[in-house]
Amino acid sequence: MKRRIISTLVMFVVSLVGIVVSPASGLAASCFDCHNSADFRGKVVHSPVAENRCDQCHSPHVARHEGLLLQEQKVLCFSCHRQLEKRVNNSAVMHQPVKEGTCRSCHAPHAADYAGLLTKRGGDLCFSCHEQAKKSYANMHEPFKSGKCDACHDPHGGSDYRLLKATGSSLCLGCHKAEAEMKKAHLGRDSRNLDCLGCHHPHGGKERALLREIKHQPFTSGNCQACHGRTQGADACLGCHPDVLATFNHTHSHLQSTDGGNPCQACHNPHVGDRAGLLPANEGQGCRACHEGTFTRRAKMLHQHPGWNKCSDCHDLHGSDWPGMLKGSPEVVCARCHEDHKKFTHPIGDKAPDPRNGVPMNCMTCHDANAGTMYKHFLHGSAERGLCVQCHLSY
Amino acid sequence: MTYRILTALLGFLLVVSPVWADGGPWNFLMQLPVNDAGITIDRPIAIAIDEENKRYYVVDAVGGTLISFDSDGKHLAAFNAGGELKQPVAMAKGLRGMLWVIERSTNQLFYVNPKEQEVRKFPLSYPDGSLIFPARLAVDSQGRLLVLDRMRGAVVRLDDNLKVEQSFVGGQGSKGFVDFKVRKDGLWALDGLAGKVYRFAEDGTSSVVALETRLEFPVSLEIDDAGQLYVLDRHAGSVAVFGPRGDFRFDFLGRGKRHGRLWYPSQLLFDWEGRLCVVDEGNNRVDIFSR
Repeated sequence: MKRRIISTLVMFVVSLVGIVVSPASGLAASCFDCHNSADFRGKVVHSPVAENRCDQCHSPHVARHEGLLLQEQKVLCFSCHRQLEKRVNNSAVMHQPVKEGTCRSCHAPHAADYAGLLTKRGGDLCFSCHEQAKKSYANMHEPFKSGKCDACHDPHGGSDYRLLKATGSSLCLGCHKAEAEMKKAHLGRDSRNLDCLGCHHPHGGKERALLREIKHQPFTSGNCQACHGRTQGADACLGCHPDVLATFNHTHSHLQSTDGGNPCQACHNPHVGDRAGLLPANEGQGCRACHEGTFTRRAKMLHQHPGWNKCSDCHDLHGSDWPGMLKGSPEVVCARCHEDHKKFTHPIGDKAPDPRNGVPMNCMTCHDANAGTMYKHFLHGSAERGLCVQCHLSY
Repeated sequence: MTYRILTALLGFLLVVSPVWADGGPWNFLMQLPVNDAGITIDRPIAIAIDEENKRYYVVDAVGGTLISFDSDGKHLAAFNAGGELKQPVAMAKGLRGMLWVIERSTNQLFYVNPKEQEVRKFPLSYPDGSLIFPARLAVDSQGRLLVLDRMRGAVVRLDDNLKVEQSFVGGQGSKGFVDFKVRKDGLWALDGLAGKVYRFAEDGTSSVVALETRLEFPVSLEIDDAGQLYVLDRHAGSVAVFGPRGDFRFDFLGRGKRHGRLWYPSQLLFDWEGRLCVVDEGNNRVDIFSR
């Protein structure tokens, strides 16, 4: 009797252990029969992997999505990471991989050596796409130097294209708390009202203060009164740069005060800049401050003109007699790069009026290089038919 | 009885719905210049009206001319002030048949007597000597001249000696005015980037309306008798209509080159009969719509 009880107990314990250890349908043990389990190890392991729950993300038999994923990548990730989904959806601008739903661009879905399941160490990961930002400076901002991009940037989304974690000076004041010292360096001004990034490069610079490299001569020489002693309107600039005024004397003039003050400052920083003209390095984003609609329209298009972020290639930034402030007639502007196209083209010019409006045809009649379109070569319609029938009605 | 009311209502809706199908009660009336007029406008940039004589004046910036049409769209004359106009960008009809024109090549204000072909030229500045960069202009019911200054994003009213006697500027957060209209109930100004419309009383005090919908690139403003705000979106090629409190009502037209489309339009204006004129720079025409 006693032996029977012991045997039964042993059998029960063995069965119990068997139930706990043996993989249920779709769980890790059977997956690892084929997939090398070593590939799923790392300092950080995704919790479904740690729990041997491969079936939380994968279907063991068939699926509509690559990797036998149960759902589209982004949808699948957000099915657990709901707080992140909410935050991303509230962002004005999404990081491109987030927008495209390719979480794997940055994260390893099974295991990684870095926190957040990142595939590489912080800075190395960011620079693998943002190569142009990988620069060395004589003086570097500590987070940049140590590859902690996420100290300032939110890698999922933010309120502007830079994906900064906070707006205005509050981003900087989170770390730079020595108010008295900063007031001393900024003529006693309240740091909360300063536009830190207007003058300081957040990654690095030649000087310890990380000032942007191109400097206005009166600023360099400490001759503040050269500008501040004058009226604060455009006359403060035109007093030394009188010839510039004539460049605005066009049908479409870019001269427009955006704050009731000096209109020049809508684009130019009066103290320092990244390039000649005291302008920011990222030209397009300077334009975006007022022309958000153009950038939003462009972002939706499948086919975009290369180099679209360098607006001054095609547009005259002070003034033009052409709509869209082009540097000349569209055929002239386009031919500056597309020289060969001058030799073969649909008839354009005075002898080829657009039947829709009587205006001489030009490159822009068929192409939209500015915002781009859903059709290749930035055509306004499908070249097979949709574009041509707008004029060739009997086609 | 109920059946009759329902039938009548249904009939009414059937009649009304096609009119509103395009997003508003506006119908195309005519185009300037009309198709068979035998004239072309190189680049219409602005329009002005002569209420008394019921004439339209279209400003051609490239051709350097002012082109007049009667109320039926018949071409009357083209005028370049004896070659003095090189690049006019705006015009207003003054008292006694005189014309005020903004000449962009010199940023001067021209006072033109069309009959005598006489032109007087005036640079404009503030009392402190700083420049005014004139962009739009209007003459109020008392014959006073108002000018939009892009240098400060403000509207200024000038006295008889063309000295600034009153400035109309936006409040905190203003991004500068891009257009204005003078009406009996005050001066209305469009702050395009901020998406706001200001209304100023004679003494400069203002009220502001925030437009409910963000537009792509607002460049011109009109106000109808019901207080609805019409805003021209240059990049979207459409006219958006808002209620007096800025609530979005409808929009119409759209970006393109065909009839009924706009390509870089530049100005809105109601004529003497409340017809809506839309200056369509990119399509070289002015479209006129009636209710």
